[in-house]
Amino acid sequence: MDLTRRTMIRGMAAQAAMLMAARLVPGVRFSAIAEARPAALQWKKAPCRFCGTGCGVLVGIEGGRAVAVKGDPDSPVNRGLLCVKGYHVVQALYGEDRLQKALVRRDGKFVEVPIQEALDLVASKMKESIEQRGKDSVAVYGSGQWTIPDGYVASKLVKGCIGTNNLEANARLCMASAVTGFLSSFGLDEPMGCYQDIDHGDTFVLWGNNMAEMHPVLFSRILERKQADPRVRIIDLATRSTRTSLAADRSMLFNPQTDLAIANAICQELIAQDRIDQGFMERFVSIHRGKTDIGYGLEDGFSFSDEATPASFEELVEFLADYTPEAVAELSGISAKDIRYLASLYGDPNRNVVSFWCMGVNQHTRGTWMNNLIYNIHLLVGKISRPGNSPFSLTGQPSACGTVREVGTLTHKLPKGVVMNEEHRQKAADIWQVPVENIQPKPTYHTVEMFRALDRGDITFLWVQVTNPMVTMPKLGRYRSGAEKEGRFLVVSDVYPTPTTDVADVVLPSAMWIEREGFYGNSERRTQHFEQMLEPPGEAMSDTWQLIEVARRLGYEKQFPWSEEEHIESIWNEYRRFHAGPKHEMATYEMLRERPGVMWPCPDGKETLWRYNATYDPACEQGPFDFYGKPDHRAWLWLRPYEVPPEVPDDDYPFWLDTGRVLEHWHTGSMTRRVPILHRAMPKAYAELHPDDAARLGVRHGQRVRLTSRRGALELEASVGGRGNPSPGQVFVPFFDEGFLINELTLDAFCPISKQPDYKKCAVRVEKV
Amino acid sequence: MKEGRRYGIIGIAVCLMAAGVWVVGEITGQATSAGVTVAASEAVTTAPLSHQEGQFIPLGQPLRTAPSPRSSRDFDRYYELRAYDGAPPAIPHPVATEQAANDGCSGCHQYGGWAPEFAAEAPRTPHPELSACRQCHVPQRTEELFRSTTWQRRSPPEIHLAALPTSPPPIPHELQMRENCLGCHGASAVPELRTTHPERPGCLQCHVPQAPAGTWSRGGGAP
Ligand code: SF4
Repeated sequence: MDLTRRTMIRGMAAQAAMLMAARLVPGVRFSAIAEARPAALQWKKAPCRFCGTGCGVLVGIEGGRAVAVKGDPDSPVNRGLLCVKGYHVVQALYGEDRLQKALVRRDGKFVEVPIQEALDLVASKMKESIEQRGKDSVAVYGSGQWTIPDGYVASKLVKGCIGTNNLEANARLCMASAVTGFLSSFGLDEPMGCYQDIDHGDTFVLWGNNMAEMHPVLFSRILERKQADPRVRIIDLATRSTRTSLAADRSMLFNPQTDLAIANAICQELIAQDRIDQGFMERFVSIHRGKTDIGYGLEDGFSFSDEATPASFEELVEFLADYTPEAVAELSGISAKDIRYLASLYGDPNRNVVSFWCMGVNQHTRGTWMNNLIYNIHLLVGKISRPGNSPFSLTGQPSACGTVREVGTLTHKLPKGVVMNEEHRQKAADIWQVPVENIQPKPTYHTVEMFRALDRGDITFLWVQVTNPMVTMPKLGRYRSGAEKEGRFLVVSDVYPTPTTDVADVVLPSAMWIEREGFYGNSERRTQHFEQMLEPPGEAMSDTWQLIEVARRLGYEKQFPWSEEEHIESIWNEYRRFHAGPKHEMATYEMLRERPGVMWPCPDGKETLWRYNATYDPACEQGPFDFYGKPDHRAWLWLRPYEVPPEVPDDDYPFWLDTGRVLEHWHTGSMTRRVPILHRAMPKAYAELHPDDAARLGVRHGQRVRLTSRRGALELEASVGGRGNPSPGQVFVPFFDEGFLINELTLDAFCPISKQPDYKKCAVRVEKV
Repeated sequence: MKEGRRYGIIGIAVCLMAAGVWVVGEITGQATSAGVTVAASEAVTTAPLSHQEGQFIPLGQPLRTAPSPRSSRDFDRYYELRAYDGAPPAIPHPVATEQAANDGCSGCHQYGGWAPEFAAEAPRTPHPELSACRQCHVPQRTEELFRSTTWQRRSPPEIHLAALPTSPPPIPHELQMRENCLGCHGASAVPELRTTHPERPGCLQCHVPQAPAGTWSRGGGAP
């Protein structure tokens, strides 16, 4: 029908010149318009491949290739806007050195082999390791870039079928403190609020979070909010002056680690100013004291578990007495006036306050405590679980929440609950159709300890998917030489060669992002589906399917029965069973295919925007608030003191070293550096110095400096007056550049509760080269 | 009423004359419809441009000299700065600072104008409400690539696709983030894209977005 019509119009066009006069009649439509485009460009929805903001993108597909991108105007996350990474995300698919064939190391050299042969080898090596050294000698290490089905089949294979808890993910290095923060304060993971908090909030306090570069689309949303309402205030609390600091109304620079004291001082001041929401505290909050002087995890086999003792409000007041604004001003370097100002913002009954944080708070040897302390502030004034009043933990990876936290690809986790809990094990065994004895009740290694075990030889087989630990591990030297040791078998699934594939024994080429079907889950509990839009190059295969192929070779056909055509849908339907119920109900497959993401809990097809608030959350048994994650239905306020970091600058190593990201690159840059505009904008890493330090060292912008820590040294260009400006006595180096491995210098100290390393603080020496 | 009719007749006469030109063009095989449009634009240009030596001259300033000197912006360069039609362009000039997400970008780009230090027209942003410019627009510090790419650039949309020599050409591109037409078609635009009639604000009254070919269907399960 359509065709006939077009043919007819084309016919008309041929006679066009002769029908000039007739054509002058207004309203006539002509073929030139319809004929202009050779092939139809089709727009398909997906979540952005990069950060945890989870912007909806529309990918333009033409002739079997991705050719364009636009922000999805229907996505409630970004409403049509993206950042420069998102606008060029499709170019990350087209690096010339995409891995297309499996590689196997023979006599020290990689040779290409058919992927089925490589998978045979992976399965047989896995079997061999299990037979010779037991189940706990094999491990799988993924990341928050895993799609939900990737993580789900990994968990089912490792925990349910093989029967070891050796399953971890890069998110341990990035989100673990957020998880333990949520669990200790609320009993359930992930934010109570959603991005709409930005539209309802008028005060935004950013805790060590350079949002303008790391979550740019959300930061733009705050800036738009500010344009619309002059009362809006943005406060940037940080150790380094960044784009966010410049855009904020106030920038407060504090000494590393003293955020613990600042948060306590705010609480102290809220009590002193009589700003406490007594009713809320009495009905919905219980106070607890944890252990103190908890260590740093620097030694192999370190273990710690916290213990909660109930405490009274009076004990809280007494505990906070040390944290007067004056005392903390001295320690932190921000003035008592600024601390009082912060308290007055949090305490103002006419202000809606959103706190945002990400790596500054989480990558912290007291990361769990810092998370608890921010919740404390919000709980004291009752500014939580209400539109615009929200302590909001942001994520760095596109599916750190969706996969690692919700599916639970961490040593102690199951898709629902933890391995230590018998009921949770039973539930998993039922859904997975495995004997419950398969699932081990004791967690094994968290990430740092897993790589230590590889170094020691306790783990002899490690399969890494979608992440690049040979760039991201702290104190990298030890863990790289561990991975390279004789008798270790390392399998790496990736899309490009990286420093991690360099040390692998087998490299498996992966299908990337929209070359397969999958789901991601972003920071605001939003699950987003994407269909397969492109054919993967060469023999590249999705991580999900690689795991299924190996699981079948290990004899688990019964647990992995799906066909290639429908496996993602089947996996989703199986996984959903874990979360059934109003507290975590996931949307249906059909709903997710249709919509630009759906937030969980989604009971009866309805998203829950604010959890624990009876007006919005059907899981509440009481009103107006019900913190149902805890047995006492209250949120837990924790007494958490300031404690010193494990390594501080001294005469030999007088500078603080801080590491992080830049706007243009995502994570280790293995994708973004292959995007022309992004690499050209930010071609290499550098060491940012304060102008005074640079002058003292006689270093100018662009000159080379050598950074030395107790663990390693690195030469690179100094940046003075560049992207960011660290405080005097500090140096900042981004970690995206595999040519300058800054993690050779960092310290593998971690938060004893979350086991997340601190990449933001260690001591270095800076010298002019 | 009578006057109205007279203008109507004059209008039709003008249209017929233009049509005549087009027909002649077709017959001699020299002019395309695009050619006619360009010719027309030269004839009626109102040149609301303000360039002079010296300081940046915003377009809002009173008009001074015309016609415009050749700008360094040309159509090829326009696409060179974009990974695909609709991608945020890279910043082709040096920037004063890296630290701010908006270091006075709007000074030149809010309305556009002539920037003598770059000998170029500063294009006007089509989305002035978004203030974190460097979130999407980044300068290029090197020509080199980290690894080469197999990215295939989609050919840019054809322009000047008017059905008639005198009819308004349809819009060959997406409108998202480009809602303000004067951003790319105003007086500081690449010459090929400049409108001849910037004084008329209702662009979409005459220029309609052109749907991609062959994808229209009645929907609702109809055959
Ligand atoms: S990188 Fe993050 S902020 Fe940028 S478009 Fe992707 S999801 Fe959005």
